[in-house]
Amino acid sequence: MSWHFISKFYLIMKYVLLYISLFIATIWLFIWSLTLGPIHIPINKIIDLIRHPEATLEWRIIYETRLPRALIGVLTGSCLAIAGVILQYVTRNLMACPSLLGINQGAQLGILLILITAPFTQLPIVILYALVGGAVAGLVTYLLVYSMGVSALKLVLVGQAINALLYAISLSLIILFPQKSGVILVNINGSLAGSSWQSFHTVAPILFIAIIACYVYIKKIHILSLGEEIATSLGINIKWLLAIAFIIVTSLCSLSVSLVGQILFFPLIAVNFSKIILKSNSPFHLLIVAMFIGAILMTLSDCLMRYIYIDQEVPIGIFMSLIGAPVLVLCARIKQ
Amino acid sequence: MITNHKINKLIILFITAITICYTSLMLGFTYYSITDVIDTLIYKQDINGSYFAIFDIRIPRMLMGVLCGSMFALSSSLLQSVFRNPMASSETLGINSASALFVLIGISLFGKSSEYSLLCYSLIGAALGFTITLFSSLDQGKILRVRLIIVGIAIGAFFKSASQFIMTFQDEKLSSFVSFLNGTLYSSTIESASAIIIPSIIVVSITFCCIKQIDLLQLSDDVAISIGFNVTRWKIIIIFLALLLTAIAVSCVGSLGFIGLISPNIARLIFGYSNKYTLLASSLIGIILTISADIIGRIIFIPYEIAPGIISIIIGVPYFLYIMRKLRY
Repeated sequence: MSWHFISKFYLIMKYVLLYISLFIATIWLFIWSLTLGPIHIPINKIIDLIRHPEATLEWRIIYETRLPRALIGVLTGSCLAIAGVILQYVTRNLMACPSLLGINQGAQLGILLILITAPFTQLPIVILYALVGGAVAGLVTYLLVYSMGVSALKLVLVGQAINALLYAISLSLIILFPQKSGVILVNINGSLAGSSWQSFHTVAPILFIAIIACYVYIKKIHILSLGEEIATSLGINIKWLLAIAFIIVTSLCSLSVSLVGQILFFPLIAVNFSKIILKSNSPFHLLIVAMFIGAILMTLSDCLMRYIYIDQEVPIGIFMSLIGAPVLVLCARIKQ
Repeated sequence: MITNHKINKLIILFITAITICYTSLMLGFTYYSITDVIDTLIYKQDINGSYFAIFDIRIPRMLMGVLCGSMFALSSSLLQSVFRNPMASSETLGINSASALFVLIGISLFGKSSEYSLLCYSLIGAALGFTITLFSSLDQGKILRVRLIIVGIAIGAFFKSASQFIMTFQDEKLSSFVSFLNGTLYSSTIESASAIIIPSIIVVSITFCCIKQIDLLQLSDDVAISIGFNVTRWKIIIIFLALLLTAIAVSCVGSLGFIGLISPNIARLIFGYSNKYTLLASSLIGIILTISADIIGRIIFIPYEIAPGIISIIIGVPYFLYIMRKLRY
């Protein structure tokens, strides 16, 4: 009795400690990202400004450019990571990653199409196009793999082929309409540079709903990952659940892409790091840890790029694929 | 009888290749008719600026397309027969991106001292990329088909983003390399084309001398060893040839995506598995695909140009998926 209690207490303490440290790391990175930029603003100055907001130059820099940037970084990072977790459970595949299955690239192509045909479109319509693009690309990949007989490695390979195709189409569109592509070029490799309050306000509510939906359905999705027979015997409607999971993943990814552009490998890296840190199989905790890790990873890479290259915007997508490619190689080796 | 049939097919391919090359001299920003091109080529007449357009721009371009297209196709055929994997190619094994990266690094560090220096950088890159892919997909001495390709694509993505990384900081100096990464014939000049003619012809003819050995590699290893064939040695030689072919091609036109991947497969579809015809056919098909991708990219949105590498991805991916469907595991 008492032993059971102690071990349970120990487990809870372990999780609490883990979450506290992750939380502190996130906050620290968040504040660090506020200080970085062409004009360096020290931390104590920021704390001062938060206490007594004045309409100085520093306040405007922080409030109008750096704060939305940091918030969007945290938000999209955690959303992409969560989408990765859900996708890995649904496909039962260690290498599954929305950015490797064409979803992100499809969303990117959707955005590109609408921006080229109507450059001054309202943000909600752009987001709609991103959603449609991501959904279509994801469905095409899934149907192709389904028609070939699903296997873990094949899923990634087909996804990569679709990715390459969509990338080539995007590139030729950019070449075709060079006068309209200035805005898009920055985001094609993933960057937080275009963040603004407006885009945050439009996208954040939907993302929050999707995140909550993740927490509601994660138990069922985890059961589904154990096998379809088990899920059916527990009274789960598989088709319905798959549809919900697809909607969640697509909306999380497409909306994130509409904010920060395409970042190859990001969900894969985030999910694998969280698995290494968590060392347990609990889906609920994995979801929380992945959220933190995603936020930390996104903010950290943005900060690093801004810290190293002060007067230049280096797309974090490029940096991510430098880290991500070896991770994918490792995953391909672990599987089988 | 069957042989005659195959030779007929080969002749048809050859004629198609020549026709397409000739068409590529006619089409472009300004259109010249068939007779215009003949007049310019043989009688050296200048019709509406055709002398400059054809001799200084289109012929080098066509020549480069012919050489590099056939080399990409050949090198991928070699890799496919060594790995017995129809999805292997210099692109899907990460070789192209690796050698493009090394060309980039070499130029930004040491400058372009001669055409052959580029070739050296490119060869080092190709060898490095291949070695990394091979060793990271090796597991207890075995290579799984699909895993090899995934690892190769990941390594390719790594090297590609590394080159983008370098390019971000040197945009003024290396702006022409943006198109280099996607594979383009745009920057070919008569000097660069004539510089690679001799090495490429040498390597291509060595490859064709090895047809018998390549055929033997199709046998299972046990059978090949039992007839006294040194499998490992020839595998290394043939892989080296493939790397050499890729390196020469990449140092000139960049990474021409999927052309290498599809041409051997189409050739095998037409000619079956005997390498005697397949190698020749796949290099002809490589030429046809490269030049037609170049023509399409040139005329589809005049005056803008879409790199043949991009066009080849758009054509090649559906075919790649088709190959995957047919494969059984």
